[in-house]
Amino acid sequence: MAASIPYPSIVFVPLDILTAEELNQLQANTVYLANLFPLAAASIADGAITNTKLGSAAVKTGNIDWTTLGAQYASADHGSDINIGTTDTTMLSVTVTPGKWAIFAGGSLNANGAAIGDSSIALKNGTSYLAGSTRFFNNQNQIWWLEVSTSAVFTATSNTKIDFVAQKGAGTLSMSYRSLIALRVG
Amino acid sequence: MDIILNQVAIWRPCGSSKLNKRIVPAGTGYRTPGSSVYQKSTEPFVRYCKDYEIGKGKSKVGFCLFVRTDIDNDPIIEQQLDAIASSISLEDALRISANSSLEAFEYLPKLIKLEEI
Repeated sequence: MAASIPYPSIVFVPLDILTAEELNQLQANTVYLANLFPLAAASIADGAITNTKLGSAAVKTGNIDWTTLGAQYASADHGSDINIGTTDTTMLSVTVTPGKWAIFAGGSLNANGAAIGDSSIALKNGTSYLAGSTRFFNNQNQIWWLEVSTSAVFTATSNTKIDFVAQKGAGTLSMSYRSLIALRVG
Repeated sequence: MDIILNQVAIWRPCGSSKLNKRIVPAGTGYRTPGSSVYQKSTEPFVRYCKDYEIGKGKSKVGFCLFVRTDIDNDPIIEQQLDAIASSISLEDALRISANSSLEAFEYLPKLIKLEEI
Protein backbone atom coordinates (compact mmCIF):
# COMPACT_ATOMS: atom_id res chain seq x y z
CA MET A 1 0.00 0.00 0.00
CA ALA A 2 1.29 3.41 -0.88
CA ALA A 3 2.42 5.55 2.00
CA SER A 4 0.44 8.65 2.73
CA ILE A 5 1.55 11.84 4.41
CA PRO A 6 -0.30 12.71 7.64
CA TYR A 7 -2.21 15.63 6.10
CA PRO A 8 -2.62 14.91 2.38
CA SER A 9 -5.42 17.38 1.72
CA ILE A 10 -4.19 20.80 2.67
CA VAL A 11 -5.92 23.00 0.10
CA PHE A 12 -4.90 26.56 -0.53
CA VAL A 13 -5.15 29.08 -3.33
CA PRO A 14 -3.23 32.30 -3.93
CA LEU A 15 -3.59 34.97 -1.23
CA ASP A 16 -4.72 32.47 1.39
CA ILE A 17 -3.25 33.06 4.82
CA LEU A 18 -2.41 29.79 6.48
CA THR A 19 -3.44 29.34 10.07
CA ALA A 20 -1.07 28.20 12.79
CA GLU A 21 -2.81 24.82 12.73
CA GLU A 22 -2.20 24.42 8.99
CA LEU A 23 1.41 25.43 9.39
CA ASN A 24 1.70 22.72 12.05
CA GLN A 25 0.18 20.24 9.58
CA LEU A 26 2.66 21.26 6.90
CA GLN A 27 5.48 20.82 9.41
CA ALA A 28 4.11 17.36 10.30
CA ASN A 29 4.13 16.45 6.60
CA THR A 30 7.70 17.70 6.26
CA VAL A 31 8.87 15.68 9.27
CA TYR A 32 7.09 12.59 7.91
CA LEU A 33 8.80 12.94 4.54
CA ALA A 34 12.16 13.57 6.20
CA ASN A 35 11.77 10.34 8.16
CA LEU A 36 10.52 8.45 5.13
CA PHE A 37 13.49 9.48 3.02
CA PRO A 38 16.41 9.83 5.44
CA LEU A 39 18.75 12.49 4.17
CA ALA A 40 22.36 12.85 5.14
CA ALA A 41 23.38 16.45 4.51
CA ALA A 42 22.40 17.17 0.90
CA SER A 43 22.51 13.60 -0.33
CA ILE A 44 20.41 10.50 0.09
CA ALA A 45 21.68 8.30 2.88
CA ASP A 46 23.48 5.08 2.15
CA GLY A 47 21.03 2.25 1.58
CA ALA A 48 18.04 4.58 1.31
CA ILE A 49 17.29 3.47 -2.25
CA THR A 50 16.47 -0.20 -2.60
CA ASN A 51 16.70 -2.18 -5.81
CA THR A 52 12.94 -2.45 -6.11
CA LYS A 53 12.82 1.34 -6.51
CA LEU A 54 15.06 1.24 -9.56
CA GLY A 55 13.51 0.74 -12.95
CA SER A 56 15.32 -1.64 -15.26
CA ALA A 57 16.00 1.22 -17.65
CA ALA A 58 17.89 3.06 -14.89
CA VAL A 59 20.70 0.50 -14.92
CA LYS A 60 22.73 0.91 -18.07
CA THR A 61 26.11 -0.43 -19.02
CA GLY A 62 27.36 3.12 -19.42
CA ASN A 63 26.67 3.79 -15.73
CA ILE A 64 28.48 0.72 -14.47
CA ASP A 65 32.06 0.92 -13.29
CA TRP A 66 33.37 -2.14 -15.04
CA THR A 67 36.79 -1.76 -13.46
CA THR A 68 35.36 -2.72 -10.08
CA LEU A 69 32.33 -4.72 -11.13
CA GLY A 70 31.87 -7.40 -13.71
CA ALA A 71 35.02 -8.69 -15.28
CA GLN A 72 38.75 -8.27 -15.51
CA TYR A 73 40.25 -9.45 -18.72
CA ALA A 74 43.69 -9.74 -20.19
CA SER A 75 44.80 -11.35 -23.40
CA ALA A 76 47.83 -11.64 -25.64
CA ASP A 77 48.73 -13.24 -28.89
CA HIS A 78 51.82 -14.79 -30.35
CA GLY A 79 54.03 -14.51 -27.37
CA SER A 80 57.66 -15.26 -27.71
CA ASP A 81 59.14 -18.42 -26.35
CA ILE A 82 58.98 -18.68 -22.62
CA ASN A 83 62.10 -20.23 -21.25
CA ILE A 84 61.09 -21.87 -18.05
CA GLY A 85 63.87 -21.82 -15.58
CA THR A 86 63.94 -21.92 -11.85
CA THR A 87 61.15 -19.46 -11.34
CA ASP A 88 57.58 -19.26 -12.58
CA THR A 89 56.97 -17.11 -15.64
CA THR A 90 53.99 -14.80 -15.66
CA MET A 91 52.20 -14.82 -18.99
CA LEU A 92 49.21 -12.59 -18.11
CA SER A 93 47.95 -10.70 -15.09
CA VAL A 94 44.77 -9.02 -13.92
CA THR A 95 44.04 -7.16 -10.70
CA VAL A 96 40.78 -7.93 -8.94
CA THR A 97 39.09 -5.73 -6.39
CA PRO A 98 37.70 -6.94 -3.04
CA GLY A 99 34.94 -9.45 -3.67
CA LYS A 100 34.36 -12.96 -4.91
CA TRP A 101 35.74 -13.96 -8.28
CA ALA A 102 35.64 -16.89 -10.63
CA ILE A 103 38.93 -17.04 -12.52
CA PHE A 104 39.88 -19.00 -15.54
CA ALA A 105 42.45 -18.84 -18.26
CA GLY A 106 43.23 -20.61 -21.44
CA GLY A 107 45.13 -20.58 -24.66
CA SER A 108 47.31 -22.65 -26.91
CA LEU A 109 50.93 -23.52 -26.49
CA ASN A 110 53.74 -25.34 -28.15
CA ALA A 111 55.77 -27.30 -25.67
CA ASN A 112 58.56 -27.72 -28.19
CA GLY A 113 58.64 -31.39 -27.49
CA ALA A 114 59.00 -31.03 -23.77
CA ALA A 115 56.84 -33.00 -21.44
CA ILE A 116 54.05 -31.00 -19.99
CA GLY A 117 51.45 -31.83 -17.42
CA ASP A 118 48.81 -30.43 -15.21
CA SER A 119 51.39 -28.72 -13.09
CA SER A 120 52.92 -26.85 -16.01
CA ILE A 121 50.34 -24.08 -16.01
CA ALA A 122 48.73 -22.45 -12.98
CA LEU A 123 47.01 -19.43 -11.50
CA LYS A 124 48.74 -17.58 -8.70
CA ASN A 125 47.76 -15.08 -6.12
CA GLY A 126 51.03 -13.37 -5.41
CA THR A 127 53.25 -16.19 -4.24
CA SER A 128 50.45 -18.70 -3.63
CA TYR A 129 49.00 -21.06 -6.19
CA LEU A 130 45.23 -21.04 -6.46
CA ALA A 131 43.69 -24.46 -6.06
CA GLY A 132 42.19 -25.56 -9.32
CA SER A 133 42.61 -27.75 -12.31
CA THR A 134 44.45 -27.56 -15.57
CA ARG A 135 43.42 -29.51 -18.60
CA PHE A 136 45.29 -30.05 -21.85
CA PHE A 137 43.64 -31.50 -24.86
CA ASN A 138 43.69 -31.80 -28.63
CA ASN A 139 47.38 -32.39 -29.00
CA GLN A 140 48.20 -31.76 -32.63
CA ASN A 141 51.80 -31.60 -33.70
CA GLN A 142 52.87 -30.54 -30.24
CA ILE A 143 50.26 -27.79 -30.13
CA TRP A 144 48.20 -28.06 -26.98
CA TRP A 145 45.00 -26.35 -26.09
CA LEU A 146 44.68 -25.74 -22.43
CA GLU A 147 42.42 -24.31 -19.86
CA VAL A 148 42.86 -23.67 -16.19
CA SER A 149 40.32 -22.64 -13.62
CA THR A 150 40.08 -22.30 -9.88
CA SER A 151 38.20 -25.02 -8.06
CA ALA A 152 36.48 -22.54 -5.76
CA VAL A 153 35.46 -18.94 -5.85
CA PHE A 154 38.42 -16.76 -5.00
CA THR A 155 37.73 -14.17 -2.32
CA ALA A 156 39.83 -11.03 -2.52
CA THR A 157 39.94 -8.91 0.61
CA SER A 158 41.95 -6.17 -1.08
CA ASN A 159 43.09 -5.35 -4.60
CA THR A 160 44.84 -8.54 -5.64
CA LYS A 161 46.98 -9.33 -8.66
CA ILE A 162 46.20 -12.66 -10.27
CA ASP A 163 48.88 -14.20 -12.49
CA PHE A 164 48.54 -16.78 -15.21
CA VAL A 165 51.89 -18.52 -15.02
CA ALA A 166 53.99 -21.22 -16.56
CA GLN A 167 55.48 -23.09 -13.70
CA LYS A 168 59.17 -23.55 -13.27
CA GLY A 169 60.68 -26.63 -14.81
CA ALA A 170 58.15 -27.00 -17.56
CA GLY A 171 60.69 -26.56 -20.29
CA THR A 172 60.54 -24.06 -23.10
CA LEU A 173 57.02 -23.08 -24.00
CA SER A 174 55.77 -20.97 -26.81
CA MET A 175 52.40 -19.51 -25.92
CA SER A 176 50.23 -18.30 -28.72
CA TYR A 177 46.70 -17.13 -28.09
CA ARG A 178 46.06 -16.79 -24.39
CA SER A 179 43.62 -15.01 -22.17
CA LEU A 180 42.88 -14.59 -18.49
CA ILE A 181 39.42 -13.72 -17.28
CA ALA A 182 38.13 -12.94 -13.80
CA LEU A 183 34.38 -12.69 -13.39
CA ARG A 184 32.99 -11.11 -10.29
CA VAL A 185 30.36 -13.36 -8.72
CA GLY A 186 29.81 -11.68 -5.39
CA MET B 1 -2.37 40.90 -6.78
CA ASP B 2 -5.13 42.07 -4.42
CA ILE B 3 -8.16 40.24 -3.15
CA ILE B 4 -11.17 41.41 -5.16
CA LEU B 5 -14.33 40.55 -3.31
CA ASN B 6 -16.86 38.39 -5.17
CA GLN B 7 -14.78 38.22 -8.35
CA VAL B 8 -14.00 34.70 -9.51
CA ALA B 9 -10.39 33.79 -10.32
CA ILE B 10 -8.89 30.90 -12.24
CA TRP B 11 -5.75 29.08 -11.18
CA ARG B 12 -4.08 25.75 -11.61
CA PRO B 13 -5.64 22.79 -9.77
CA CYS B 14 -5.61 23.26 -5.99
CA GLY B 15 -6.14 19.59 -5.18
CA SER B 16 -9.79 19.62 -4.15
CA SER B 17 -12.42 18.32 -6.54
CA LYS B 18 -15.05 19.12 -3.93
CA LEU B 19 -16.00 22.61 -2.87
CA ASN B 20 -13.40 23.78 -0.37
CA LYS B 21 -14.20 26.53 2.08
CA ARG B 22 -12.04 28.67 4.29
CA ILE B 23 -12.96 31.52 6.61
CA VAL B 24 -11.01 34.69 5.86
CA PRO B 25 -10.59 36.60 9.12
CA ALA B 26 -11.68 40.19 9.61
CA GLY B 27 -8.99 42.74 9.00
CA THR B 28 -8.04 41.29 5.61
CA GLY B 29 -7.32 43.83 2.90
CA TYR B 30 -9.45 43.69 -0.24
CA ARG B 31 -10.94 45.70 -3.11
CA THR B 32 -14.38 45.57 -4.64
CA PRO B 33 -14.78 44.87 -8.38
CA GLY B 34 -13.96 47.90 -10.48
CA SER B 35 -12.65 49.89 -7.54
CA SER B 36 -9.08 50.78 -6.77
CA VAL B 37 -9.89 51.62 -3.20
CA TYR B 38 -8.20 49.28 -0.81
CA GLN B 39 -10.09 48.56 2.37
CA LYS B 40 -9.98 46.25 5.32
CA SER B 41 -12.77 43.85 6.17
CA THR B 42 -14.61 44.40 9.41
CA GLU B 43 -16.35 41.02 9.24
CA PRO B 44 -14.93 37.64 8.25
CA PHE B 45 -15.67 36.54 4.71
CA VAL B 46 -15.31 33.23 2.94
CA ARG B 47 -12.97 31.80 0.39
CA TYR B 48 -14.34 29.03 -1.84
CA CYS B 49 -12.38 26.97 -4.34
CA LYS B 50 -13.02 23.91 -6.47
CA ASP B 51 -11.12 21.98 -9.13
CA TYR B 52 -12.53 21.23 -12.56
CA GLU B 53 -11.39 19.33 -15.64
CA ILE B 54 -11.93 20.03 -19.30
CA GLY B 55 -11.17 17.87 -22.31
CA LYS B 56 -10.83 14.12 -22.54
CA GLY B 57 -8.05 11.56 -22.41
CA LYS B 58 -4.56 12.93 -22.95
CA SER B 59 -5.90 16.42 -23.67
CA LYS B 60 -7.58 16.64 -20.28
CA VAL B 61 -6.63 19.82 -18.43
CA GLY B 62 -7.38 20.73 -14.85
CA PHE B 63 -7.97 24.15 -13.37
CA CYS B 64 -9.30 25.66 -10.19
CA LEU B 65 -11.87 28.39 -9.69
CA PHE B 66 -11.77 30.34 -6.46
CA VAL B 67 -13.49 33.34 -5.01
CA ARG B 68 -13.48 35.34 -1.80
CA THR B 69 -16.93 36.49 -0.99
CA ASP B 70 -19.12 37.89 1.73
CA ILE B 71 -21.82 35.40 0.69
CA ASP B 72 -21.59 32.41 2.98
CA ASN B 73 -23.75 29.90 1.13
CA ASP B 74 -22.14 26.71 -0.11
CA PRO B 75 -24.83 25.42 -2.55
CA ILE B 76 -25.29 28.77 -4.26
CA ILE B 77 -21.59 29.42 -4.58
CA GLU B 78 -20.93 25.94 -5.93
CA GLN B 79 -23.73 26.28 -8.44
CA GLN B 80 -22.29 29.53 -9.74
CA LEU B 81 -18.73 28.22 -9.86
CA ASP B 82 -19.94 25.16 -11.79
CA ALA B 83 -21.72 27.40 -14.28
CA ILE B 84 -18.61 29.55 -14.76
CA ALA B 85 -16.42 26.45 -15.12
CA SER B 86 -18.59 25.18 -17.95
CA SER B 87 -17.88 28.39 -19.85
CA ILE B 88 -14.09 28.02 -19.63
CA SER B 89 -12.52 27.02 -22.93
CA LEU B 90 -9.84 24.37 -23.30
CA GLU B 91 -7.47 27.06 -24.61
CA ASP B 92 -7.96 29.18 -21.49
CA ALA B 93 -7.44 26.18 -19.26
CA LEU B 94 -4.24 25.27 -21.11
CA ARG B 95 -2.93 28.82 -20.82
CA ILE B 96 -3.66 28.94 -17.10
CA SER B 97 -2.09 25.55 -16.59
CA ALA B 98 1.06 26.67 -18.39
CA ASN B 99 1.39 30.10 -16.75
CA SER B 100 0.23 29.59 -13.17
CA SER B 101 2.66 29.73 -10.31
CA LEU B 102 2.06 29.86 -6.57
CA GLU B 103 1.34 33.56 -6.94
CA ALA B 104 0.18 33.95 -10.54
CA PHE B 105 -3.53 33.58 -11.25
CA GLU B 106 -6.11 35.44 -13.29
CA TYR B 107 -9.33 37.12 -12.32
CA LEU B 108 -12.19 36.31 -14.66
CA PRO B 109 -14.77 38.93 -15.64
CA LYS B 110 -17.21 36.87 -13.59
CA LEU B 111 -18.80 37.90 -10.32
CA ILE B 112 -20.67 35.93 -7.73
CA LYS B 113 -24.11 37.39 -8.15
CA LEU B 114 -26.05 38.42 -5.10
CA GLU B 115 -29.37 38.51 -6.98
CA GLU B 116 -29.19 34.78 -7.61
CA ILE B 117 -29.42 34.04 -3.93
